[in-house]
Amino acid sequence: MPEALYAVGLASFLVVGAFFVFVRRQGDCDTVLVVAKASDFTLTVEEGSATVSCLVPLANRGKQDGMVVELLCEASHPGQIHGRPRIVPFARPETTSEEDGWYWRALLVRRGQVVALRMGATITFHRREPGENALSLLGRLPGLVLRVHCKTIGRRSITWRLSELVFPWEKLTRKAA
Amino acid sequence: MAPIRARLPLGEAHPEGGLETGRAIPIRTHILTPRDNLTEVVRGYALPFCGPDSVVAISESAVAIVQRRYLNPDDVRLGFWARVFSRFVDRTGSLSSPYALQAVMNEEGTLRVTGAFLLGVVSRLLLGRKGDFYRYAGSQASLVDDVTGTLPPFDKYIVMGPSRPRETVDRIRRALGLEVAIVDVNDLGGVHVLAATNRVDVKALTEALRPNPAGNDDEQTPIVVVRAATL
Repeated sequence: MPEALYAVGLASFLVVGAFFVFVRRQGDCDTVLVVAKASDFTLTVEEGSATVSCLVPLANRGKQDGMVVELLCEASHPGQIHGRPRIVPFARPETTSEEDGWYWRALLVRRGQVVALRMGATITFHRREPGENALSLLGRLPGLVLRVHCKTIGRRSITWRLSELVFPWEKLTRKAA
Repeated sequence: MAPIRARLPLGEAHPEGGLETGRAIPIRTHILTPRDNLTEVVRGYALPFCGPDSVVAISESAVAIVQRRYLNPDDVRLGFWARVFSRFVDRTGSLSSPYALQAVMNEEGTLRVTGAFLLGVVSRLLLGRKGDFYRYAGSQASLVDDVTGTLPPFDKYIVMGPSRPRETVDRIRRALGLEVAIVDVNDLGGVHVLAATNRVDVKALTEALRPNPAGNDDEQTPIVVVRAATL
């Protein structure tokens, strides 16, 4: 009788062990916004407003597919700024058109897939002194950082990941001028 | 949630599909939400296209959304068995997400889904049969659409299958005198008629819907009028 119990115990142990090995080998998604590889920075200035944007790769480096359910951006800038700009950030896959709006549509990112995202912000100056234009006001903006919150569902659970996208502000404003 | 304006004129027959086969006419509607009344939707969009031998086929996802049968994954409390079993579902299936599987377990019962899972494993390993899990886990297992599976703004929700489909089609029939069916159609040629009123020729309806005239993408055509599909 004890031998039978030992056998049942051993079998259970092996089954549980095999399951953990299976889960470990199966892995999960690992969806990362690769801000270090951001490229194609552009700044376009119009009367009273400006749009800054760049391309950022969204990569799934994991072993499983991941669903990017939300991608929320918030713009932050250091210090007080004259002119009280209104900064509206945006993010969308490069393949979708601007006409589709800025609604983030839940996106399935396959394992090993990289999706290029167009990310940026529209900056509008509502208060301007006479003789001031958007470019001169932008020059006073000390910098622009997008904090991006990415919500992903994979095999395991919901994960939120925070990334910071820093725009090379001085270079961009100098180029636009 | 306010309905979103459709990009093309509402109530227009889809330019493809219907004209291709001459039998199935997909109809573009506004994005349906729980604020809609399904009978009024059918009256407004489908009635002008219906003849005496027509059947109004409604997508099961649209019916589920009108019935408010969708869940935010954040509101689903994951259990142990959903975490375990979802690991064994192919990554392309809706149930590979533990949240969708947990939502099915909440509807159909953890015991039933667990039993179906074990039965599915045994029948696949010993008999080489596929699909037994879906046969025994209850209708919601095959009807659930995971996140990304539905049109915005419902792409961020888990959309379940409709509740009481038979009562729903009978109610529309009583109100409008039309033959109605609730269907689940995909691009792979799969057609599942969930419920149909008595005069619907299910075989003819299935054949007419097999090319998936409504499409599976952003067509926004949850209603298809199928002609010559009554008994």
